[in-house]
Amino acid sequence: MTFHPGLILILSGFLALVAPKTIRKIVMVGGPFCALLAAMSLRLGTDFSFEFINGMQLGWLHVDKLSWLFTFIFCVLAFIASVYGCHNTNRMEALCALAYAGGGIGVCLAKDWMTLIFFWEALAISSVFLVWCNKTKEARKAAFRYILVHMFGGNLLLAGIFLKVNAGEYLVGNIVAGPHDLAYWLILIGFFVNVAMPPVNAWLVDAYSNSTITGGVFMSCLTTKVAVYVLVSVFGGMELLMWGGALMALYGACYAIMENDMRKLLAHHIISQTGFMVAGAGIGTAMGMNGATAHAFCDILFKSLLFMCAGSIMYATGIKHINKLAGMKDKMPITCICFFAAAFSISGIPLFNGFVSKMITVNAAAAAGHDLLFTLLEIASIGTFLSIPLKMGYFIFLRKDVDKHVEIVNPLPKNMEIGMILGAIGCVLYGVYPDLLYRHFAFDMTPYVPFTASHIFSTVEMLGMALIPFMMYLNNMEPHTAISLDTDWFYRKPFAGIVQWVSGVLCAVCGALGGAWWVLYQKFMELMSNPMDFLDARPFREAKRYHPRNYRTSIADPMMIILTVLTSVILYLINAL
Amino acid sequence: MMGLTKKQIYYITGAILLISMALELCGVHLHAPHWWPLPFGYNVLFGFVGGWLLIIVSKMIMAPLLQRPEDYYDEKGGEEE
Repeated sequence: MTFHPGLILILSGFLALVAPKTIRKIVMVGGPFCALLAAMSLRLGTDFSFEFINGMQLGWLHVDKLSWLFTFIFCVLAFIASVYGCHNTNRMEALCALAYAGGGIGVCLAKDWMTLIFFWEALAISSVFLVWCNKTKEARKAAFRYILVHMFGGNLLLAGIFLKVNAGEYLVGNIVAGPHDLAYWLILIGFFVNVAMPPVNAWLVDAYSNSTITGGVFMSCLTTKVAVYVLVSVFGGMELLMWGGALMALYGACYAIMENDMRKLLAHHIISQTGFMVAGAGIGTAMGMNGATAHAFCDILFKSLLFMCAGSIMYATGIKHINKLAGMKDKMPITCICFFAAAFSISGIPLFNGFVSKMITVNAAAAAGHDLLFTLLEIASIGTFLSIPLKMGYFIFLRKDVDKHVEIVNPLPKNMEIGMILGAIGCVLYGVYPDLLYRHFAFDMTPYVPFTASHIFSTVEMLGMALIPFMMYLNNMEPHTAISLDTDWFYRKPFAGIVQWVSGVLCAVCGALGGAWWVLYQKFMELMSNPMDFLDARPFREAKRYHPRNYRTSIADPMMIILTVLTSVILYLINAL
Repeated sequence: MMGLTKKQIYYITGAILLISMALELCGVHLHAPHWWPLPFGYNVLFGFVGGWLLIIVSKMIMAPLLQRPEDYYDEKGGEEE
C-alpha cells in the first residue's frame, strides 16, 4: 500500500481539530509518525495521478530521489515538532501546523504545475494562521503583512504557471535552458518570495518572530526549504542563484550580529543558511545541487532545534530579548545542551551535521572555479559562528546572572524537552554518520569525504580564530533593545503613507460628493414637502413647534417617479424615431 | 565564558591554533580557492579578518544606520487591542 504522507498529515490535523482532549496528544504525535512511516515506505518511481478537466492529468504523488529526501525530512520535522508542541491546547494551531507540513510535502511530491500551485497556496494559507494563533496585536499585523507578500508571490507564480500550462507544458522540470519568457520570470520571482531572497526577505523575520512557539518551529523549516526544493528542481544551474545565495548568506549573517530578539536572530540565520542552499543550486554541478539538498536536510534539524530552544526559553521565562537573559546554563541545562548541539551544527563544527552538509556547497563553489563565491560563503560561515554559538551562547547561557535575575516562571513540559532531545540526536547522528544522508543523494557525484584533515583543520583554524575578535569586542557585542530596519520599511512606512494619503483623498472626494448629494436631496425633500413655503419665500425653515405640516407626506417621491417615467418614455421615443 | 577568564580563552585558542598550524606545516593541505596560492596560516588570518570585518560592518556601520527604537513602527495614538 502507498499513502501520501502529506495527506496523512493534513488528515491528522483535522483529527486533532475535533478529537477530544484525552486523545488529542496521541493524534498529534501519531499522525506525523504514520506520515513518517508512509514516507519511508514510498518507492522511487511511484507515480500516481488522476484526471482533472480537459483530460489534464494531475500527478499528486511522484517520487524521485530528490522529492523523497525532502518528504522524509519534512515528516521527521513534523514528528519532532509535534512531540515538542503536543501540550498545546489550541486546536486551530494543531490543524494549521500539520496541514502546513502536509502542504510542503505536497509540493515536493507534485509532478505537475497545477498540483504544485495547489499545495503551494495551501502552504501559505495554513502558515498564516500559525502567526495569528499567537493572538497578539503585533502577530495580527505581521500575519497580514505575511499573507499580502505571499499573495503577491503566489499570484505571480500562478500567472507563470497559467502561461506554462497554456503553452502545453504541464510537468514540473528544469527550465533554465529556456525559453526565458514571461512565465519563466514570473515563476522565478514567485519562488524568490518564498525563499526570502532580498529584497523580498523581510516577511520571514517579521512573521516568524511573531508566530506561536510551536508554529515558529514548523515555519522555520518549511516555506524556505520547499522553495529550495523547487529552485533545485526547476532552476538548478542558473548563475543568478549563485550570487543571490551569496547575498542572502551575508545579508542574514550581518543582520543577525545586530539582532536582540532571539527568534528574529534565528530568522536572519534562516535567510543566511538558505543562501548557502540557493548558491548550491546556482552552481548547478552535482556537488552543488547535492550540497544544497544536504544542507536543507541538516538545516531542518538544527534550525528547528534552535527555534525549539528559543521557544523553550520564552515559554519558561517569558523573555525573548537576549540582553534580558543570563545564566540559563544552570536554570535550563537540557535546553543549554540541545542549544549548543544545534549551534555547533549550524556553525559547521566537526561531528555535527552542519559540517557534513555546509562544506559540500562551499567546496562545490571552489571545485567549480567560483573562488569569489567560495570566499563569500566562508565569511558568512564566520558570521554564523559569531552570532549563534558565541553571541547567543555566551549572553543567554554562559554569562553569570549578576543583575538580570531571570526566573523560571513556567517549568517546561516533558514533551518539549523530549522534542529538543530528539532534534539534538538528529544533529549528532547525521554529523557522525553522514553516509545516512549521502546515500540518498539525487545527483551522481564523486563520493564526498567530510572527515579529512584538510576539512577539519581548515574549520578549526578559521572558526577558532574568529573567536578572538568576538572576545576582543565582547563588551560591545551585547545587543541593544532596538529593531533593525529591513526591506519591509518600504511597505511599512513610505508605501503605507502613500496608501493612506490616496485613501484619504479618495475618502474626502467620496465624502464631498456624497455630502453634496445628501444636502441636495434633503433640500429637495424639504421643498417638495410643501412648495407653498417656497412660494411664500420662506423655504427650508425648521418648525420649532408642532405643526401638522411637518407630518405631511412628501409629494417628492411620486413626482420623482412620474418625472423618471416621463423622461424614460421621451428618451425611448427619440431613440425609436 | 564557561568560568574562564579572557586571558585563559586566548591561551586555549592560541594552543589549538598552534597545534593545527604545526600539523599544517607537517604536510596537511588545506582546501582553498584557486585564485591565490595558499599561504601558511591562511585560514587563521581569514578567520581573524573575517570576524573583524563582520563585526565592523554590522555593529559599527549597519547598526547606527539601521537600528531604531522598538516602537518605531507603532502607530501614533495607538490602537486598541
